[in-house]
Amino acid sequence: MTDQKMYRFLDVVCPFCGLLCDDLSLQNDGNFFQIDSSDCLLSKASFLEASTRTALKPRVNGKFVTRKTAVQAAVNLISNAKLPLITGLMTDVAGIRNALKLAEYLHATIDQFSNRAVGINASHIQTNGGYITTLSETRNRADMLVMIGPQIQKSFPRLIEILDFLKPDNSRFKRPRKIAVIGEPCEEIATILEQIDVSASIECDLQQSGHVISVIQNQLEKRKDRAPITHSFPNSAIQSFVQDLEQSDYAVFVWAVEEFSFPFGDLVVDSIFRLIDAINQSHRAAGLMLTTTPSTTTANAVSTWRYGKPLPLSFRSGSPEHHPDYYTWDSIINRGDTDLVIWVGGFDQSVDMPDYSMQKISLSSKDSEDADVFIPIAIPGLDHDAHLFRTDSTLAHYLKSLHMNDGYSGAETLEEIYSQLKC
Amino acid sequence: MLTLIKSGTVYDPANGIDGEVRDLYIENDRLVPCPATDKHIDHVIDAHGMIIMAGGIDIHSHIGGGKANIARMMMMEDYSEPERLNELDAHDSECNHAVPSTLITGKEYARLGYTLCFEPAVVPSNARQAHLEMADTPLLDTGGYLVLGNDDYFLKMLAEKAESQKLRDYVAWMLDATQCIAIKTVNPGGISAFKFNQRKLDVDEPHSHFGITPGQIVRSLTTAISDIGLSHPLHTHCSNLGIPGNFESTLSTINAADGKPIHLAHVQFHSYGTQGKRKFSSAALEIAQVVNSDPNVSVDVGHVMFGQTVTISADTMAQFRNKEFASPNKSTFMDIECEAGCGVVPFKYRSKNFVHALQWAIGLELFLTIDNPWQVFLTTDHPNGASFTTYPHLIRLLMDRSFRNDMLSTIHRGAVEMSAIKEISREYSLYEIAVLTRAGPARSLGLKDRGHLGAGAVADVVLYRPDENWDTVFRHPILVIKGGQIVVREGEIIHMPRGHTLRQRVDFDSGIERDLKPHFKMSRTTRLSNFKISDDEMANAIGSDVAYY
Repeated sequence: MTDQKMYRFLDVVCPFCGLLCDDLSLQNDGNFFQIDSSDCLLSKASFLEASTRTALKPRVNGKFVTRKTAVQAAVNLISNAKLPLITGLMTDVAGIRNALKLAEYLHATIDQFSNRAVGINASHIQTNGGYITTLSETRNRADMLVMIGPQIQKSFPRLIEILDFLKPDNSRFKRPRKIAVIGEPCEEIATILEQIDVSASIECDLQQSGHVISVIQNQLEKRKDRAPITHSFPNSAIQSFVQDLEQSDYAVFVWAVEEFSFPFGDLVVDSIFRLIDAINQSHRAAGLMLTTTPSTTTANAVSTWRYGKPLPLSFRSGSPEHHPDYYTWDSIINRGDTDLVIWVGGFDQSVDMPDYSMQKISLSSKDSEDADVFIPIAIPGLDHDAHLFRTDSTLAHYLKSLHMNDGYSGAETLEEIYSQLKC
Repeated sequence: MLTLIKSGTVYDPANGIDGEVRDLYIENDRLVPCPATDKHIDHVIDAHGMIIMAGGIDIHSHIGGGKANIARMMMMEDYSEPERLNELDAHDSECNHAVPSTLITGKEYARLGYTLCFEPAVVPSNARQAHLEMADTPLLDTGGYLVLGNDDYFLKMLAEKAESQKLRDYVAWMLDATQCIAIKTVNPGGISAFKFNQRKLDVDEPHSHFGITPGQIVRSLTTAISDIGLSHPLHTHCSNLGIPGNFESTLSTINAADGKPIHLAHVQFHSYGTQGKRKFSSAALEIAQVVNSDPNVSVDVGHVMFGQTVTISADTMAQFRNKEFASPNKSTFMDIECEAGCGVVPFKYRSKNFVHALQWAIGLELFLTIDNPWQVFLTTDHPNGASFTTYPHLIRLLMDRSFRNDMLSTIHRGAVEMSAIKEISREYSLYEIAVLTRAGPARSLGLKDRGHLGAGAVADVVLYRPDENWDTVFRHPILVIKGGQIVVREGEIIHMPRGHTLRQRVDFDSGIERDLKPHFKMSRTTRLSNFKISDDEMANAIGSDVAYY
């Protein structure tokens, strides 16, 4: 048995959920990267999977080729395309910057893969505004945390820990911190709730949560002329909830908008913001909007500062046009409104590029045999330095490369294609 | 590469040049003395009859960061005409007017002859985004003012009566970690107090949780800045923004600085009295009187122009109060990382509205009654008072009394009656405009090679064509040279170089990190090592090299 040298990385940022926890300690024995500082199953599995990737080779029409040949093939396909669509965008700031530049040059449509659900939050802010908050603010101020859709514990395994509700230092608050839950219970949150002070748990189909919130607001405002308490919600739980809200100094409502991907899910978001607004007339409250994929937050941030608009964007007229439904990537594909899909991955280890009949170019960290052109790229933050935005959109992290794999980044590959197209 | 700009009429206040016909020489990116006669001149620009100034410097303009991005999202209906796309304008696009995209911002500033711009409200945890956005703003060098005075760590230190050396080291460390050039405070203590449901905080009123007053915060920060040796004084957004009678808070804030230098940001919004039947009046003369008697006080005006805009501020307390005036009726607020906040409220200033018209007049009163142009800077607090694209119109208002009086006939009559503006005959000279928009900001920020046309200065040079309409002159420079390169010719963008980030070197006891690490670990959701932005990250990942002063 030979001694293997162990490498240790501290304060590593985890890019596998929107929280971007940056306190990881990693060990690398030359083969595997393993987390030794956190029990986050998502993080552990994702780092392990990423570090056991096999080296990928470029392909054209299923055959292995050199990278130079693959890039040239991509350029040829793009040159002949009339309605290109750039999507995936599971990448970092640099990747988004270059994908947008390419989209503008090609008069293409561009959208992020997970953007449709997130658009609900964006649309609400565009139309009505709202009162929102951030992770540290919640950690230090919130004496009441209202989780709408407890499934978020699955998508953000360390959320309660990061917000310091697991073993809170209640001496900093006038009264013990409490959690309330609205929605269908899940195993993950049930385990958590056993350990902490629960205000109320209102079990309901998430599609009904908007109604529950309206009932709470009516009670809070002592309004009897609005929606009555319906039979399916326990009155005692709602009263307990309202009482705690009235006593709270800073209530935070947290939701992952991907959970609201049902008809009229936007009305749930609307009702949450209305309740927050009502509370803020006399007390303090705010919303914490979670987005599962950091690439989604990142893509929209970059798009908004560079073009004044979030994704999706279409450059077909020469100017960027934003329409949250019409230009969404799946709408474009379903309408047959594209003849070439350019997929930009990176963090797409667990996501397959949609299988559609049009021609496909895949720039990805995951092999794609059915793409007409496949060019492997590195994973941001693991293989190269990268900027990503955290779920609360305030904090951008600079992820320093762990040098897991060599390889070109998505940004570099897009730049190469752009440069060749311009020649 | 040696370029001669021949026989232009030069206005260069930093070097005492007031409209003298001179030749200027540019070698690479710098202005140089007249070379030896045998040295070959590569390029001659005939500037005969042209007005020449250094590149414009905007000392206070919200061009980057999370709040600007929220505003962009909220103001998507406010479109300007799409720009023509061509090879050079490969990133040109249709964009909203009140808060343009970064790409449009850089180009519009350049078209007005501006080459340097400072984002005045960088929230620490949002600094990386602010720099990313500014790096994506072509044609401009940029810098940021770090918002302190509402952050838990500082307020706690103050409440616990920490040694001034500790406060100083913290301020310097934060400045260094966030790659900023100056310190700003916004409604000192007030943003934090609002998180504890305090809806108003006067200068001598204690914060309900930390027990300290805005006055104490201003005093501590001005002392720290003085100890660190920063050129720019505390950039202060005073308490009680927008409230009638707030000029008293403004005067109290000046007093809290204990005679140390202080800069009052967008002072127009802090110069209100309570006279008259509407209990809203101008206190510009009271403010100007104090500025005129104290050389340690400087101001930027934050002038209001009529039309649609969007107000964006870290002052959540004030913005939340103002949301009832939102037009269109929507507003977004954010409590940020136990450091600051953000409020975005669309606003439409109307010439026939008494309050708006009087705000417009108050801005002009401040410009015209502050005697020393080196103490006042030309801003609209973009986009809060108006877009920076209104600067040429504002310059005309300052330089042309006849035009100013014509404008008075178009605004609310009651506001005209309440204002001293019609009695003021002062007209700014070109020399004074050059002070307000170039030399003054450069001096205030300690930028020795900016804002002037002397040898050694960065070759940011603007050529204007004289016209009896000053708006036309300043809206359409003939030529804009950035770092020695022609970037705009007759309004057309020729090149789009990326800018630098300007900073001042600061020293501090790195032992401060021993105290900060546990704070980051316990109270924040990011680690100290990940919070800091290095020069290398700025240059290679963010995309803006740091230039130190």
